[in-house]
Parts: sequence; C-alpha cells; structure tokens
Amino acid sequence: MRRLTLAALAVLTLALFLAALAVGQVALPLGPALLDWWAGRDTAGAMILRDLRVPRAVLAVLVGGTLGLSGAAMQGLLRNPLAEPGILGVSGCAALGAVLAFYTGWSAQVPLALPLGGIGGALLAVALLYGLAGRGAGLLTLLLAGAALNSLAGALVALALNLAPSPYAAYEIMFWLMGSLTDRSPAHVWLALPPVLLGAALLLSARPALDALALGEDAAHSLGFALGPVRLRLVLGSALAVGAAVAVAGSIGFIGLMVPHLLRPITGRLPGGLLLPSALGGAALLLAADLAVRLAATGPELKLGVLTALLGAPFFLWLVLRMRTDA
Amino acid sequence: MRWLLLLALLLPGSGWAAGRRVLSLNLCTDQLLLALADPDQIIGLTRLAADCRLSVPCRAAAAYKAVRGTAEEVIASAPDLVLGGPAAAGAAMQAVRRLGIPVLAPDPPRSFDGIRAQILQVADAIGQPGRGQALAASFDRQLAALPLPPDGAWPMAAILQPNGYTTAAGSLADAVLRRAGLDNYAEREGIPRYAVLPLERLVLHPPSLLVTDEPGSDASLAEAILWHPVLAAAFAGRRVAVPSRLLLCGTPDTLDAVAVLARARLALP
Repeated sequence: MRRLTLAALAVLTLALFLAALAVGQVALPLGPALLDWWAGRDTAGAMILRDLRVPRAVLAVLVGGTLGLSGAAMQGLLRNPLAEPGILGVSGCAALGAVLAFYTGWSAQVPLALPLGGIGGALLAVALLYGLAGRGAGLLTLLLAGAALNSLAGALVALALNLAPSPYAAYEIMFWLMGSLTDRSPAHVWLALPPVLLGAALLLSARPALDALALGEDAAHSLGFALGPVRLRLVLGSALAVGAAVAVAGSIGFIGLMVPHLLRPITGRLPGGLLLPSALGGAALLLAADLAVRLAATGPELKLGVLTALLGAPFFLWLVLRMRTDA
Repeated sequence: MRWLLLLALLLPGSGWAAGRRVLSLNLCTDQLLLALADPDQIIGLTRLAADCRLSVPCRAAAAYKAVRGTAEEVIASAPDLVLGGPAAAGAAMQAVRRLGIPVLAPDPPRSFDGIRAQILQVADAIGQPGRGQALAASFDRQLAALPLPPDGAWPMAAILQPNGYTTAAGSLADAVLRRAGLDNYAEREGIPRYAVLPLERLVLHPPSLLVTDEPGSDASLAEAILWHPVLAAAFAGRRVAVPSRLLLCGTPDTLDAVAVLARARLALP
C-alpha cells in the first residue's frame, strides 16, 4: 500500500512537472525546444525552457516538497496536528531573514546571504516554538505563539520594506507574505538546492525516531532513541529547508498543513511513514497550484500564496471544527 | 492706492507673483521647479527628487526639505501654490483644494511639444515667465540639434521597466523612441498603453534592441527582473541602458535619452 502510494505520487508529480514545462506565457513546442537545449543551441525555445520554465518547475518541486515534508515532520515532532511552517510563523520569520538579506544589499555581495538569511529566521522561529512546546505547552499555547510570531514577522517585513532604499521595495510585501515562482531564475534553484536537500536528508533520517516519538517521549527513550540529537536534527532540518525555500519563493502557506492530513488516511498513523509521501504530495500540490495561477491569469499573475490560502484556510477551519467535535 | 497695496501684502497667499512660495508633491514637477524657481520660492520637494537614479537635479534637490505629502504637512507649510501630478498624494491634494490653496497638477507630457508647453505652464504658475521662455527656447535648440532619424524601416526596440512593464503608443517614452529612429515593440505586439511584457514573449519574438534602466545599487524584485539571465542570453550585445531618470519625467533632460538611443541604434549589428 505504501509503495503503491509513493509510486502514484511520484507519477503525479512527474506528470505535473511536465505540464509545468509545457504551459507558459507563450505557446512553445516542447519537443524541439528540448532538442535545442540538449544540442546546446541558443534558440528562443531553449532559452525559455532553460532559464524560465525549468527553474520555475524545479523550484515548485523543491519548495512544495519542503513545505509538505516539514509540515509532516513538525506535526510529528510537536505531536500537534495543526503544526505547519506557515501557521506557526516559521515561514514568516524566514521571509523576514531573507528580506533583511536582500534589501540591505548583502545578497548582492555575499552569494549565500539570501538563503542564510532565510535559514537564520526559520531557525530562530523553530527554536523558539520548540522551546515552548518542549515545556509541555498545549495545542493552544503553540498555536497562539505561532500567531504572535506570524504577526510580528509580518510587521517587521513591512517595516523593513518601508525603510528599504529602493522605491519599489514597499510594493513587494505581497511577494514575501504570499509567495510566487514567477520569473525566478536558475540562480535561485542553485541557491535553494543545497540547503533544501540537506534539510530534507536530516528530516528523513529522523523517521524511526519520529515513529517512536509518536508513542510518547518516555516510550521513545526506552526504545533507545536519544531524544536530544533527534530533536536537533528535526529543528535544524526544517529550518534549513524552509528557510532556503522561503528565501527564493516567499512564504507560501498551508501546503504543510493540507498535504500530511490528506495523506495520513492512506499512509497510516505513524509520522515517520508520512514524511516521504508528504514531500511528494507537497511538490505535486504546489506544481498544480502554480499551473492554476498561470492558466487563470489574464492580467498580472496571481500570487501563489493567494491560491494556497484559498484552499488551505477553509481546510484549517474544518480541521479545527473536527477537533472540537472529537474532543 | 496705498491701502490696496497694504491689503495685498496682508492677505495670505496673494503676495507678489514673483515671490510665490511653492510646494511640489510630484517627482516631475520637483524637477521643473528646480529649473525655474528662485531657491527661496521652494518650500519643499518629494523625497524622490534627491534620489539620483530617479531625478536628474538630485544634488540640487538635496538642499531642500523633503516632504511626505500628507495633508497636514502641506497645509502647515502654507504654500501659495501646490504642484502635483494627476496621481500624486491624492488625499493631500483634495484637502488642499478644499482649503482654496491654488493647485497645479498637470498631466505628464506625452510628446516634446507637451514638455515645452509644461515648462511654460509651470513657469507662469510660479511667477517666472521669463525663465520659462528661456528654458523653452534652449529646449527647442537642443531638440533641433539632434540628428533626424533616417528614412525607411526602423529597428524595433522594446522598453522594459521594473516589474516587467512596457510603454506603448501615446507615452513619452514612445515619442523618445521615434525621435531616435526606433519603432516601439509594444505597439507592434498589440500591447495596450502600460502593461506587463511577459519575458517568454520577449524571448520568443525578440525586438532588435532591448531598452532598460542601468543596473542599480538598491535591491528590489521589481528591478531584478531586468537582469534575469534569460534576457542576458537573448539580448547579448543588443541592449542599451537608458537611466530611468531621463524617461520618468518630461523635462529638457529627456532629450539625453534620445541621444543615447540614437547612438544605440547606430551601434546595432
């Protein structure tokens, strides 16, 4: 069942990836463009594919995969079904770090400043939240702390953009708070790829420990898992992946909430088994959302986060209502 | 007769025409004001006027007070005249109009004749008609001194602005392109007056020349799009940087943009 689910999700992601290459602002015959690129010919089709569509689709996979994966991991780590980088303010703090790195001009001088800024912001947020949750905070405390972090990060992003020297900066708040993959470049892929892969590897390496943690901290400890290193791996892993993803695409919400919940009935209750399917599911969902944004746009493109919030916020509400009736 | 003079001096806002104190709430009127007014006539300019990427007389502008354009600030500075644009500081302009302070909010000029007319209009309004005539005459001379574009087919040029916007027929930028002997890509592609030019379209149907701002020092996503690698690949050796301060406003400095573009046309392969 698990193998089948993974295979189906992989096929879906691949199909959506190919669709993302085929759909764009102009009609482009995909076959000849791919051949030109392969042969190293600088035709218009090859350039559009190489510099615009492939980076966009790869980033959708990286960012969506990161959000799905870290959503599942945070739900397991915090043993909280509503945990998610967006809702808990991790993405918001990552956006703040990236905004500071970008608009002060650091990122133009120091190549890795942009992802490092995002990772720094995310790390701060995860550490803060885990500090809270680690002291036995309940569901409510965690969500309220997340809401506070989110508002604070949003306000500081707005402040930083208002103080930024460029006259255009103040209008870019939508990108950082809603996210977008429009006109990103191969450079963004190379900036995000290493930390995202490293973060994902750290998160995936914690699968057995997460399963044990589902039984409670004492049980996990008695099963032989040293909890300190496991927590550190999960905190670092999600901060690396989410920080780098947000630094190149803005903070796109709700992917990490929706995907694990949609997949949990299929993969079973164990959080470790949910990680890989959630990564694939997140990639597929963001690819689909980005396709919808492109197909729906007649004027300027919609921001991606607008669409994921339209899907995710009602879903969040439904989860809250269901938890109330269960309780 | 003497009491009439006394009355004129006492009434706020009347005063002598030549001494009218003026506040500008628009980057373009800022620049005309600096070119035409006496220094002690200028109460304040926008913050943008001192930004050398957006404004030509940026050093001169730095000497004046930078205003934010709130209604309170405008009223408190008690100007005899407020200069603005059609979209500048909407609420403040309405409040100023309600209080009966004279306002001049000219539409941005769309042609060289429009620039000339606006120089005279602003000069008259601030009580400096003589300087207006002189500036208009020097503008005419500079315009006439620019070489005429050649006959026959012109190469096509696309103007790409921050956020990927382009300007089509009817804009000042369009008039500048034509005076430099270039056809406007946006018009050929059927793009309405001010709209986003998708990068993919620009690469698939490339114009002969790509016109963008020069690389800036202040980071923004809006300007980052102008330096996207796909443009570097598609327009290697076929792009020219025209500083946006030359194209944003219709002033005599706009003619420098014509000169830059005409040189770029001659250098095309």
